[in-house]
Amino acid sequence: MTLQGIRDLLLNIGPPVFHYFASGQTSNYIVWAEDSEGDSLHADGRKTEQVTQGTIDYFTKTEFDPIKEQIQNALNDADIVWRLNSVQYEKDTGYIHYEWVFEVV
Amino acid sequence: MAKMQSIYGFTELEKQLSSLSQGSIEIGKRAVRRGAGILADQVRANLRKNLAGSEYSTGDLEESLGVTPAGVDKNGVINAKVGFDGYDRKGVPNQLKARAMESGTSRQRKRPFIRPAVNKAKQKVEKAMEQTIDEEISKIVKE
Repeated sequence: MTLQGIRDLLLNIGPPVFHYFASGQTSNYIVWAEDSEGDSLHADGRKTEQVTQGTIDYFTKTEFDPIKEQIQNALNDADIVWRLNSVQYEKDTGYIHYEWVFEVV
Repeated sequence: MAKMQSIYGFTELEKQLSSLSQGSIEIGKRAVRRGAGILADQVRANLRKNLAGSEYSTGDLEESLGVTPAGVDKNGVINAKVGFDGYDRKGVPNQLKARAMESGTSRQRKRPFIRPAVNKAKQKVEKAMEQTIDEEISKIVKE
């Protein structure tokens, strides 16, 4: 799976999708970003398999939003390694913020 | 016909193994302390990069970065925590500021610095811990 693949997978879910950051949103939306290298493979003094790590953030004002499950199912269906890294509630905006860490080769 | 061969030094070996067993927790703690220090340095370096040129940075967040003493949990795992403590000069919890920078909010762009630090320092930390354990074991074995 490539980074473009992650983008396309998220675009199929429904809410607007942004790369790196979104501003001025009032409804639910998804932001994704690649940010570092995971446990890449090395052999014979070369990088043989580069693992890219990043995050997917879903901001919603709906409690028990089914889109959270849809995102996870889509990642599973695409055989992407992921984990739910944090869930936070923003008191001032009312947003529930789900954050997943993913890895792609 | 089989020959019996004498092997000497079992008493010394037994003593060394006994010393190793008694000192294993302390050796583990030293290794964890060293590893945690390396990780904290990487977190600090990433944080400085994030805050470079910021007119709002007071240095409070960096000052609050620290490492807990190494301890042993209920499962016998030796561990230490690298993290943020206390409040900044405006009374905002430093952990909250670190979390907002790491994960972002709907109003603030994320600038991960802890997870990338773990990724970057992992191998260095593992090597340093391994080296510490080897050094400490050698000291006991030589005694």
